[in-house]
Amino acid sequence: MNFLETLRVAWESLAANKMRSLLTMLGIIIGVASVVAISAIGRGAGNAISSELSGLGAGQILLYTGSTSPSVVNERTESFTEKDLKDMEELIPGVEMALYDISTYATVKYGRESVSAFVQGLPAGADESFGFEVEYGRWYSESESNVGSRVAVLGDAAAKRLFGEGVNPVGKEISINGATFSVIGMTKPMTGMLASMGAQNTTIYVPIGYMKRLYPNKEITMVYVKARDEYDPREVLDQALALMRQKHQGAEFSGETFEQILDTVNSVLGIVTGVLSAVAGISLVVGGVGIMNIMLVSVTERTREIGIRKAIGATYRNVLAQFLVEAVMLSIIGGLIGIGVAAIPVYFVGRALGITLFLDWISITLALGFSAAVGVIFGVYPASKAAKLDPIEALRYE
Amino acid sequence: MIKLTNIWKSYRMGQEDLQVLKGITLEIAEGELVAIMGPSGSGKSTLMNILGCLDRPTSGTYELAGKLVNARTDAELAAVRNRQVGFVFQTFNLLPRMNALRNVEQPLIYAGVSPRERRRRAEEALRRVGLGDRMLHKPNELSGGQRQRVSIARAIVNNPSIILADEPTGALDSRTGEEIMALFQQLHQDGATVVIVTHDPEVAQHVNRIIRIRDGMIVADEVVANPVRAVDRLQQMGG
Repeated sequence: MNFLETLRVAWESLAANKMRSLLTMLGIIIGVASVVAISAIGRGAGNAISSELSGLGAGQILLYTGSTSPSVVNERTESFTEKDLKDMEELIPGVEMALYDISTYATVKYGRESVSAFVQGLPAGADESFGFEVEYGRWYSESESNVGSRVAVLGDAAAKRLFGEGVNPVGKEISINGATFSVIGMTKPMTGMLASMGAQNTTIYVPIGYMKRLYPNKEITMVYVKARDEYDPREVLDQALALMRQKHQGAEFSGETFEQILDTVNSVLGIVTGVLSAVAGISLVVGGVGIMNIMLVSVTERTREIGIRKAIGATYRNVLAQFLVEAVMLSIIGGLIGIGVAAIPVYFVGRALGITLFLDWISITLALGFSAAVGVIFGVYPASKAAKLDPIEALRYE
Repeated sequence: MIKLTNIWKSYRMGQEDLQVLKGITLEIAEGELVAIMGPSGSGKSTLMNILGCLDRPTSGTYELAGKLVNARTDAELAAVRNRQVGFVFQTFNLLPRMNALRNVEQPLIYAGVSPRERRRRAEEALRRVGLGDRMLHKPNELSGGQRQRVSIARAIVNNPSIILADEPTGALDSRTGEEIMALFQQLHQDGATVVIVTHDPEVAQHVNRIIRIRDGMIVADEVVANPVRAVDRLQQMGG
């Protein structure tokens, strides 16, 4: 039997009951739209986060005392020393800088404004290692850092909270936990998707020398290492760990590169996207049940037509094909509409996050494949019921 | 052309077998115009279903165009219905969403005929039944007589060995019924084999041979000496 003719008959039958066909497709439309939208948003956001973060933190490595595995109980741990950091910088060629921070939450006041802020003690040069750009003023110098001068660089959001929008804070005096600091710089505001999702820099940076004076017995349990651009951060990490284990006679250390952290973030995002898509996919199954239901109604309504077709020579396969094609047509048209519908939330979420989102071919293909499969799975039973009808009974049906 | 030998048909009704056909033996030659008559419950519908390959006999053999048709698969029976049998029903049984042309094309689709050839043959069949100017009308835009003509065009489009008509005038007024009978007589003159199943003696007057059945058996098989010519009858009716 001619396939085009089968398509045409299926189309005419769906078109004869437009409202019913549309309502039947609704489940598929909603299912496909949610799966496609969630996967497009998840994928797009993941890409955007990766590219923004890797610009921010390329070559950064974190070292910790002790292993990260929770199963190890009887290990020997030792803190890092200032000498360790110097040795890393001198003995490992891939290390551009090794530094640590001493940080605390503090009450910061300017005039009558008072806010609680994260105050981070960092050495000179940390701005470059972390990729901070200074908008107004400057970062503190080596000597200011060593001496522990009371100067501060404000994150842009911290500055905004204290002084208001668009004010150059350089030269102003603030008090941190009662000690007076002069503001010498402010970092550039964040841009891109992370900023639009609410990420902002509220940190206040002060020379590490000052924090050391405040907390003289602070142990160094975490170290930031910046690898040189031309070195592989993973190798630098291995070398740093080997050096530390050697210097501390087998005490356990661990670490991760920024890329590894990014991979973790991405795989978590992937899992979340996958689970959400699967939940949305359940409505595809519900849509399939709807198709089966309406196809069963259709078979009953068209019993006489089936009888006529059998009398003029339609075989079991002809009738089966006709109803199956109709079910698959319903589900595929539903899938196509669903993809169109998905474009709406994807566009608005993309605009809200300030990133480019697009419906990727993988999820479109998958969605169409799934809706076709739903059509076949839920169309087979009604179609075979139609095909099995006895022509004499069917012709007698009123 | 058609040769039934000792055809039995029984249906299971609860504990008992209900014998509907009890040893029908019958021959119909090529080009005959025959009526099968009988009251309701006589088994004439069952006999028609077996002749049309919609049903299988419980025992006995059925030869159509020189070939044995019993003991075949459903798909093969469908092929016989498609190529060798043309059905005409009392209530026309057209597909309501399709115009006359596409209705007539349907058997050719199952026969695997190409679209162009399909269209040509369907147009020819519609012209033969006098509907050359109504081809693109849907059934609900046609009168009862025109619908029955479409159904006859569908029955003849695949050049079947036998045209089986089940009470073809039953749903029509007498004048339109007469027109339909005229059409069957015309097809008969052109060489077609036509079997009309009816309980209406008026209709039976138009054929050359009447086979009467009662209680599942043939009780009479008579030749009609001077069948009524529907064309003459129509002239008498005037208009």
